[in-house]
Amino acid sequence: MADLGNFALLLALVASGYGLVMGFVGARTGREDVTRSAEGALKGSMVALTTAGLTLVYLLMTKDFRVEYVAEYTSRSLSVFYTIGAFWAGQAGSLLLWAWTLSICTALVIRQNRRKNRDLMPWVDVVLAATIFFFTFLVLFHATPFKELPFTPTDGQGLNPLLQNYGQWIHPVTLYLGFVGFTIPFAFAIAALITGHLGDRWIRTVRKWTLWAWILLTAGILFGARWAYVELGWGGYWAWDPVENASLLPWLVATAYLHSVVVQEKRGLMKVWNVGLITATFSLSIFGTFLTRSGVISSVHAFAESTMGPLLIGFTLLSILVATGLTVWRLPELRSTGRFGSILSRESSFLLTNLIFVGMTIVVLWGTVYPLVAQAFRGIKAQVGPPFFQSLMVPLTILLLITVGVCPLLAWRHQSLKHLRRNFLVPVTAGSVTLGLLLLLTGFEHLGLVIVLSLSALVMATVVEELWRGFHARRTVHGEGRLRAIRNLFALTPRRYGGPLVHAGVVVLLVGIALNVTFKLETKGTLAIGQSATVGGYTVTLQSLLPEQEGSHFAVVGTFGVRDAEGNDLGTIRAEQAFFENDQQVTEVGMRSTLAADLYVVMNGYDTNQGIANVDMFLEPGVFWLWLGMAIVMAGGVIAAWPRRANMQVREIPEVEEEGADAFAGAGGPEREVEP
Amino acid sequence: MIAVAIGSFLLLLVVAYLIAAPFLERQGAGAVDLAELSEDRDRGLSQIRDLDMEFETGKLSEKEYLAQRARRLAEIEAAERAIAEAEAAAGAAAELEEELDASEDLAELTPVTTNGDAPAPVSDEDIERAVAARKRALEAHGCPECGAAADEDDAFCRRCGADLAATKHG
Repeated sequence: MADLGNFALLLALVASGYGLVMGFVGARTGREDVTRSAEGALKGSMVALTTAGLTLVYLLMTKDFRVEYVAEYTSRSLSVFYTIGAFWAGQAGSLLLWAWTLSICTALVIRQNRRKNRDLMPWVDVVLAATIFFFTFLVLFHATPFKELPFTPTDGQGLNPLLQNYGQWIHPVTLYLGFVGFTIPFAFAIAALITGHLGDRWIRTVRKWTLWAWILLTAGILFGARWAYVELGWGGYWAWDPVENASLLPWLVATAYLHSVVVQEKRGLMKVWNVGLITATFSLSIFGTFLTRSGVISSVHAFAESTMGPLLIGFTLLSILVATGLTVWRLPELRSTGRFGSILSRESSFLLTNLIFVGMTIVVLWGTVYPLVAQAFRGIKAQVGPPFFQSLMVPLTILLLITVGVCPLLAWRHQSLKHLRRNFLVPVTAGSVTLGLLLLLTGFEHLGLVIVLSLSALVMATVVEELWRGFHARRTVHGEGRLRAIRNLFALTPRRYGGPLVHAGVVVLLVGIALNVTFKLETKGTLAIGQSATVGGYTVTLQSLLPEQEGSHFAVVGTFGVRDAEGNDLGTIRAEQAFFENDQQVTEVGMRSTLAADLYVVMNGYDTNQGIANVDMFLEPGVFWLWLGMAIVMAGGVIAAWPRRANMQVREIPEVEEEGADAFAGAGGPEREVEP
Repeated sequence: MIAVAIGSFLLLLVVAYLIAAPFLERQGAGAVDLAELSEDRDRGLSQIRDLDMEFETGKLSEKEYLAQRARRLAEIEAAERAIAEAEAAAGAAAELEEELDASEDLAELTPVTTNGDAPAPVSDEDIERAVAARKRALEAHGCPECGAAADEDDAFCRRCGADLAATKHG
């Protein structure tokens, strides 16, 4: 069966190569049949890569240990769930998944655009074919999962126990899908540059792709953080590890793009900027792969070193060069069709938001590659730790919070003082009152936290006001009932009201992080059975230390009794040291979660004979809010991106006598149906 | 082993077919894409809804709002007109084709080009004529308020929203 996989990969390589060449020919000659044939070839490479992917699934499921990849990442005792999850446990499978999902997205794009954007499609085909070709090439010649061993081992080595978490099914897959998804807007941007069709048509075409890619990337990052928190047992969720940064970099630029693209759509500004951002997003996705796969940087994500580093960095540079060259060539046509309004206008605040995101990107990028640079130029092994990132990212985040609070309140182009006063009244009051109260309560001890919380109150008030106004407008202008108004707010204007929801989620998430950073407590020590230690008001007592056989693995389980400050018994939690095949040892965290804080107990070492355990206990405040914020961000994103039936009603324009929303109160213009 | 050989061969066939098919099939003349046109219109409608919300919540000055709304409405109207024309042209083309099919000299009327490119089933003049006829029909039922084109069975004007049914019956 492995032969089928290899053959399918080879076929995918040939087909995408053909697509690349013929796509180019079709684009240059304008021959539609040639372009269609190139698209047929890309669909063909999708079929071939799907065959390769399913072949690997089959090999994994049948535990064919003659295949090196299967022997390396599965074992007889591994459950079906993690056996399939082993698909992307190693480099070869991950790259195959990448190429496979990209080919599926490509086939979808071709299908969506079979009758439209025919001017752009030849070049879109070329870019997508080149990317599929590149990744298939990597899989085939640098990391094939179909390599066979000269003998058949009796059992495989099993999946790294750290990967045996439900996160294995979410974190890698969503991240890849996110990375892969950004190839589509990049391809359209390049096509727009080459054809000179630089209007906002390419942007509208890829809007949904960009949004979904962003949602998946966000999910990938946040689920990764959650996985690290519950599985790794160091009491944290983000460590500014190079591999984490590699996923954050495209996210930051993509988030900037999602904002600036609105300015181009509404006001015809920032065209070069948008092309630049989408190029940066794509290049950083590939660059991230380079960082994680080339072994140039040390990381907790222990990927195998490989020979593909130069190829990946080469591809990154090529994409940057091509995009930059084309942009410079088209510069005269990329001039804005509008002009920026006053400094206090919506577009200016979008620009500011963008600058902050780009600033963050530069900080993270520099901190991530600095060790490489230092190694190359000064020959020293330098480490850039969390303090570097925190010292720069915290102020930038606070700035960002201010813009998130203020930006949605501003009007396009210019701002009348009357609007300014009216729009800012509630949010600014909410922020100031929170600031005053918190300063009264806590003094200046936790100034950072107080600032974050006050700004969060401001942003929340902005979001609530935004939603309330929309709701109110639907009620009065359209005469809708409460439930219907809420439903229509999100159903009819999802772009306008999905965004504020995402902002609300981000705020909840940031509040969780700020609380966690400020009030996190740690107690370390050695406990004998019966002894207690306290952390943040909790008294934790080691009750027993027993060996247990749990399914396929053996574990030493420490049972800890928990009491709160008043001495109430809160039950017990279990922390484990588990032993898997091949002596792989994993700590399983014991946790007790409440809305306010998690009690997080890790047993690092033990001696069952003497009945003592080395324990590391954390009080983790605000973590619940981090995960809640993450859920809200996802929900807001999905609302904005959800495919919807186009159009139901457009209100007739009412006679406007006075300025402002007041004119609409009771105006109730007639609604009319527009046939789709 | 045999299964792998058969599987590989089938895969090869599928890919080869996908690549070759576009050269073999007759391709329709580059018709205006209805889907794209209605997308244009739908996007215009959703932008208008966004605009309404922006104005109602005080994010847009009245002047700006009215100007942008008028621009969007004009776009929608243009899209709707194009849709009507494309539909009419497609309808006329289909009718003509049927007639031609019936008259059995299809082969003479639609010569196949040597490179396999699709032949145009109807002449441009035919389409032009059909479009013109359609336009006249639309204008005949025009809106009494603003003069915009309208279909016979339209209840309201597409531009100004005047109640066409009422004017007709009343």
